[in-house]
Amino acid sequence: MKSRTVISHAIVIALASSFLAHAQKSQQAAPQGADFTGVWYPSTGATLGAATPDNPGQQFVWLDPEGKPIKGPLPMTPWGREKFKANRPTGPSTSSIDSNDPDFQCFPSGVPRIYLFLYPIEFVHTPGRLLILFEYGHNIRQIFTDGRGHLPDAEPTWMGDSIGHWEGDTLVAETTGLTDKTWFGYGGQPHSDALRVVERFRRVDHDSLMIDITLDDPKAYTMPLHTQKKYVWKPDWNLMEFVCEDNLLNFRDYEKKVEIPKKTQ
Amino acid sequence: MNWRPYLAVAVSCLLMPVPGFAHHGTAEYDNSKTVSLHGTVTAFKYLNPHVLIDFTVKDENNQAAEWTAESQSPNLLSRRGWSRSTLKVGDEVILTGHPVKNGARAMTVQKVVFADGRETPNLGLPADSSK
Repeated sequence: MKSRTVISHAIVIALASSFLAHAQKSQQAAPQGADFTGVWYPSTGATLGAATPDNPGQQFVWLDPEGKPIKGPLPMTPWGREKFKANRPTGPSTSSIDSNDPDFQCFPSGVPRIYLFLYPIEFVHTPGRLLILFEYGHNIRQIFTDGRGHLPDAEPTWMGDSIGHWEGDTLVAETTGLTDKTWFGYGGQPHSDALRVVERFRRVDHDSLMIDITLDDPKAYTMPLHTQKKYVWKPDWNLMEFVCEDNLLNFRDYEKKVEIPKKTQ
Repeated sequence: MNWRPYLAVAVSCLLMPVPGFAHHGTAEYDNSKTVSLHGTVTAFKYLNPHVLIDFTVKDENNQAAEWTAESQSPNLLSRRGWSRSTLKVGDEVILTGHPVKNGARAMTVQKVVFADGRETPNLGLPADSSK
């Protein structure tokens, strides 16, 4: 009887050890951070008080390093101002067809401007990498989380080189290697290829994802700029096709028809 | 051809605000003016990047003038219940929106109802996207 008890205790201990070891292993194998999987739609709500009735969600509100809203033009360096002068955003007297907005020529929008388009995005987690698929223009970003560093001496690209790491449930991504051909928004705000973007992605509640964005470009701006973008979970949605070049096929004649008369420019 | 007498100034506050277009700007439109036009659909182009509705409006002499109305992309509209068959050639519709600044017969449309009173789905952004 006694020996039986000893044996059964031994079995229980062995099973418990095996279970604990297995649990520990599972814990180690579990993915880091949070799960952003799914389709998300940009909120047109007043993130940082951003939205206006005429243009909801299609512009950022910029904060200075102290968290105060920047009123008026962004604080550019002389280099930044020169570059800004060369940009022709649409406005009261500038038609789409007369603008040199890179978006209207179907170039990728870059980071952070890609978040301003009112189209959904999808997050896909893969080992060592988070993919962001953008319906608008079918752009893709890949944020490497496998511990690698930035590409050395990389040629700048439209969506940049992104590496990330998890801080609890927040993914912190740093993007460099961005071409200076993109703008920060419809207003023609320029940047240089020295731009460094730091994004903090966090699922603030089950249905909401907040992206805190800090831009550091000392060549073009006299201070770092901060903004936010919120996305809303769309469990029943799939991304659809959106090919920018369709504009050239379907829309150029219409844009010519509605062009703002030159005499008012 | 004088179509201007047929432009009825609509009550702006009846319209839900429709955001600026994603692919190109809205500078071409005069958002301070809102017009409603009764027309007959001659083409419904459910194409990216923006849907176009061609329609004719008759003047006091029964002369038809060709108009075009621009809306959002099919991607956004299909998520509000629109499809390529929501409008058909020959449909009698009333389109309300903002005209272009240059005087061309074109508008950005914010609301479409059929002449018999049936409504089309909302032309704005997907529901609950403002939360």
